[in-house]
Amino acid sequence: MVIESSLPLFAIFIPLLGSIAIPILRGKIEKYVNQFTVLITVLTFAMVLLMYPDIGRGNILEKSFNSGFSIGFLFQVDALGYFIGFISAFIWMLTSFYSIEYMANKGNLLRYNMFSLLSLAGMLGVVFTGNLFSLYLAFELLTVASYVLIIQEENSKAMRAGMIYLFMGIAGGLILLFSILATYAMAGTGDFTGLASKLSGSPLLHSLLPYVFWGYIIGFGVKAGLFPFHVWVPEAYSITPSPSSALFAGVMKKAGAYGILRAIYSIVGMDLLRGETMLTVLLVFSLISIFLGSAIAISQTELKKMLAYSSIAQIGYIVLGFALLTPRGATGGTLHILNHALTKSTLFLAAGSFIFKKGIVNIADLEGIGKKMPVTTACFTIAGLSMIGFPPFCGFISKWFLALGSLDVVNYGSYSFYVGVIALSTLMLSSFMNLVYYGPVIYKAWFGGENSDNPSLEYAVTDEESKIEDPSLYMLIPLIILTAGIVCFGIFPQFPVSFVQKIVDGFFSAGGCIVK
Amino acid sequence: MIVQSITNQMGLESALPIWIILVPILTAFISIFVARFSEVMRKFVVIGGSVLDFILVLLMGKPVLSGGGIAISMPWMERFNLGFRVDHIGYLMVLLVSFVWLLATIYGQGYFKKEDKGARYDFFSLITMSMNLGVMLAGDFLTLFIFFEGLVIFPYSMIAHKGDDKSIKGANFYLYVGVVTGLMLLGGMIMLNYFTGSLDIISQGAKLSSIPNQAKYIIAFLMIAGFGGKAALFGEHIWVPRMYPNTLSITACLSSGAMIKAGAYGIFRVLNLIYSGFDSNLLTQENIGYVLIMVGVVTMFLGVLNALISSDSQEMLGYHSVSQMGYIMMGLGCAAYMGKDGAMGLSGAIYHIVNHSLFKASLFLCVGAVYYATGEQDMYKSGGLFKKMPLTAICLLIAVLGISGVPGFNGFASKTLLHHSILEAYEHSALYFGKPDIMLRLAEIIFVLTAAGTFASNIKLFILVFLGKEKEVSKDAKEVPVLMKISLIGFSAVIIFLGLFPNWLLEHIIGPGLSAYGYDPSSHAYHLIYNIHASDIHSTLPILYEPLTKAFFTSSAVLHNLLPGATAIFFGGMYFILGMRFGWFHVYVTEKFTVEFYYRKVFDGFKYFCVKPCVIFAMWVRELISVLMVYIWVPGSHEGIFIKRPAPKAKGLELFSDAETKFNLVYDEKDKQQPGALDMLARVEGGTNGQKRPGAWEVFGRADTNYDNMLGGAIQRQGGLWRIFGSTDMTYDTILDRVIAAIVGLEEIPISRIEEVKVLEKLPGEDLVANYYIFCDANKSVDMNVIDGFVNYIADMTSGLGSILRKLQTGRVSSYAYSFVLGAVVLMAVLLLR
Repeated sequence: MVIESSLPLFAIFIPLLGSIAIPILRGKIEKYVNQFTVLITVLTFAMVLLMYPDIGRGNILEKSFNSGFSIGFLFQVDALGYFIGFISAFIWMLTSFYSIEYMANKGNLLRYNMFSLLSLAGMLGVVFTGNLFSLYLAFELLTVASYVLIIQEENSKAMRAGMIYLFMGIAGGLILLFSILATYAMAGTGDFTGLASKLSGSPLLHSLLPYVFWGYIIGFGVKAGLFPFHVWVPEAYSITPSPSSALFAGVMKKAGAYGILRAIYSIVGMDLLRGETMLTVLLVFSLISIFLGSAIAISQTELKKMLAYSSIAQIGYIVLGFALLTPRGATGGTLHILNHALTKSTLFLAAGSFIFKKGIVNIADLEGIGKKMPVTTACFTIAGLSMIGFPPFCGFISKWFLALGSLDVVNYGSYSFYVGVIALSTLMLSSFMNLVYYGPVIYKAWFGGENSDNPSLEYAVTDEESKIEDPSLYMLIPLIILTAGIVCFGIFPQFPVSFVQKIVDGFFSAGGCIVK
Repeated sequence: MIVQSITNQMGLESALPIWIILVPILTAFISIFVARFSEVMRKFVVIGGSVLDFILVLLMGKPVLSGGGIAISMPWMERFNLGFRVDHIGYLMVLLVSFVWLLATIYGQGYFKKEDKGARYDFFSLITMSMNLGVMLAGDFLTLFIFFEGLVIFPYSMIAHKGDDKSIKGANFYLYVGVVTGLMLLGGMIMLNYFTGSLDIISQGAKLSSIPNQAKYIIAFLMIAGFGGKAALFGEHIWVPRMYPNTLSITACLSSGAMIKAGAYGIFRVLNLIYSGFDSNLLTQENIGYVLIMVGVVTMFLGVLNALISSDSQEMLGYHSVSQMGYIMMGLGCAAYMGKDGAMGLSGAIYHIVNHSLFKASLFLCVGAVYYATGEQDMYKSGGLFKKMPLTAICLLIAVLGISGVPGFNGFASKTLLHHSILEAYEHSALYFGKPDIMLRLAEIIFVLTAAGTFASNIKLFILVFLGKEKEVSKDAKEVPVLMKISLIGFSAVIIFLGLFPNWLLEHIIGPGLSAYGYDPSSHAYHLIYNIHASDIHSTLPILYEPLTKAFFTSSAVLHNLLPGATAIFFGGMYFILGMRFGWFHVYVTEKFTVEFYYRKVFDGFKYFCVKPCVIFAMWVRELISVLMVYIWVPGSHEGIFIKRPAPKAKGLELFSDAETKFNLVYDEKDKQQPGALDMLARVEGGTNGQKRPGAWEVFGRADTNYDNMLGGAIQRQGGLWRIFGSTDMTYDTILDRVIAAIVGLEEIPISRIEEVKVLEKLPGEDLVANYYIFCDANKSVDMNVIDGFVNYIADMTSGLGSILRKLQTGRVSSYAYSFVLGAVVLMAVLLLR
């Protein structure tokens, strides 16, 4: 049932207005601008939370400005959009809370907070819209606003990373625009509801379909960091301040993943794609993403760069789940959006704490940090284990569904059995590779440095000298909440699993999928 | 809360498995909390928790052994539930694990002094205990897998407890083997679920019979290999020599006594999937059983050979664990091989799981006690401790007699059962396949030889450590604390009890447990206790003795039972005497004879593949995408949209080298004066000499950036000439390092990886990237000749627009704000007025 509601509008416009308010009120809130951002994000999260009763009942919230023109603004929240919007607002709230201490006494604070809020507005705009036109506007806003987060430090590395990001983002955006225009031309509308069926009736379909599909994949893939559009990811993620790294990897990346999910399941539709070569190519891209991201992460010496490459691999998991075209695969991919958001944010925030307290950037310097910063390192460890896919952490749940889904391909007629086996073995191999690069960090952190021969390590100290130097609660609370989420969703996955399954069942029942 | 509701729903007895798993975890957290106040209280809590758990296990005995077992299931996700199911065999395992853990925990409280971080150890030990119990209690493979993976991570801290490099390495090996085999297990489970639609641990023989043959074998291989890592099967045992000598003896005891059994139990359950549909999967089952017999025999023999040449007592015992696991695998294999007649093999294997736990745990703890008293683990360096530590010596002797299979001690019964089962398998092959299988006969001989080796090396341990002259290290040795004594005595008592009443376990637990699987009654070992003999039994079956009733001496089959054991002990003794005389215990094999060597090669190769070709491939993709998406768009300007001040133009230093790598230092006079003040560090020219072109490769930086970081990209190749840019303060070697790193395209790789810095005529990796440069050159020429004109035109327009934009920017946030306000107002206006 569709319900008229202004809540989606509020959720988008509160951060938008907040970001405009920052420069206007700059004299008054200059000292408390971080706190101000937290306030705005809390309000936004509250708006998102208020939508839950209706969404939980299976309704769709809608606010339309569609009068007269064929294109117009349509704010619409369905279960899928809500799922990602909820994650975004929640993690944004936690990271801005984390920033209170992390970003204190740093330069360009007004600008940072302003564009952070603007990015939040863009992110929520992407997931809370009901047609392609509004989605495109929000998507471009997200691209441009998040550019400023990358160049926060304004040194040459940051400028270079930002430049690559910006130009790739704009190029991707233009390609996306082509696809969106083509979709309007073919289907006559851009509203998501029933788009796939309208599209399939178009006479232009056969000549245009591959271009439209690849347009969507490139446009959203650049944002998601899928191979081969991952070029901007490593530098950008490692150069931004850690809270925004967490936002990039945990949340903004998911705007791209969301777009790919929409493109496959509700814009183009499964029936057109099943058995097509282009989908196989997408599957291969996702597999290469998984393998290559993990492989390069092994050779990294810088912690944040390693995490960045790891998130390229993880986006491969998500897209793999979508491209399998099986309910369990899609469930796994969508669940992995949540799980990866939790784990990767935790990892980046923990890495940020290491930088903040000790100035540690390289993995080799982490020896014995576990004794100095036990809570932070424990959070890092749990998130790392979740990445490897150990039960009972949440990473296992999505891996389990992806693995089940990859063998299901025969039953749903998407691929042959061997493709499923290849996907399954890539998943397993990647789990092992995750161990190869997360393992050393974790055991170095806990057990390294005790008998180290390296006298220059300042923390290779005896027990008398060592004292606990965890950062203050501002930085610990978000970490602990995220880690608790990792453990909770690992032990009690019923809630997210059933929520996601409802979404996926919706797609598969609407698509009229034939089960052999 | 959830547990309570389950308790209410199911009644106390059915909820027992959950409580058994939860109690150690709760105890662990309470103990950490209590440790802040008092060490004694913490120890009390830890022991109390273990005792409580043991009592709960005992309470579970009644419903399981007299009733139909316990089965509960909790909803988890989708249709996968968390299920617990306890039958006789599972109960025996749970009883064993909780008993071993209880005694080891008591021992640990005596062992750890305050500075040994006992709190951390006990915390992880209790959680590991819970995981281990969970494996034995699980009702489906998913639940089992979850606990099994817990058994991979949580012992890490216990193994690495000493904290030195060797123990960490041992723990890493354990972790890596655990993860790889865990992934194999996961793959097998997923395939099992795909083909049968169920992960239940109960028999699925009927469902399995209808699936393709290859799939059956692949599933069996993946799952058995998955559990085999923990069970230290041959080929997957590489963690054993790394871990055992370098870890605490308690960890070794728990690993051999309990954790390793999780692997054996898992394999038992996997075979169990196939067992009861005897007729449906006859051939598959026979083949799997045959392979498993061979693997078991190889494992036991190589294990004992390694044990014979070890001088570290814990390493020796670790190899004996491998060898004894080989016995168990062989028993399981016999059971699968013989189908309906396999009850003897299965009961022998399960009995041996129990016995091995008891005597191996006792052996490790005794060796630990010696280490506690003397600080020496090498058995050749210690000696004459009998007078100093009589109790430990006697306990060790009892365990040695147990492991050697001497009548009167526990190992005898299970080893006899296993020996007869391999003989039966031999006769089975003769009966069903026409001619006897000579390999199985060979297996029996190796079995006896292994038993001889076991006796030789264990008696060597006892004699070297406790008898003979008193060595330097044993001067100050004292008998161990009372808590450790309790634990040692406990194990010895049970060893002797089972030795004197060997039929007890068979009668009460193993026999009834196995009767559920539909074996031919004539093959049940336990039936023989009651003298139920069928006349047409084609093999001689063991008559287990009852020393107290003197049946030992009256039975006609005594000789048959005693002969293998006596042979083994005779040859073992001979081997010991001759070996000590001629130095057979000091043979060492080279690295190339180990499996680890080859695994390491594969792993290194894989890592090389990840580090080199993958990175180069990624670089290709990166450049391709950059050219497509970025460089065409960006002619020249890298100042960025939001940067505040325009970059002043300045030149860096230029370093040229020709093919003979003579370096000429050419630099600008101005820059020499102020080397630090460069803003634009370097510009690499593309195209022909002297012709500058915007849009080519470029590296830039500000005055405060670290030059080293940027130099990686500042390189260009022109014909045979390398052109590099660097600052004045850089040395020749640094620059050369950067050159190499940049050419191979590995700017992310630390420079220390390139071991030799040489002046090279051909740079490493040049061949690899030669094609890439051809591609680049081609791209460049097209770029220069065709695209440049067009691009420059756009570039001029863009930079013109950019400069207008930059003029609008005051560098202050307010300017953005006003533009956004303007935009928002326009937007609102459009929305409202439309």
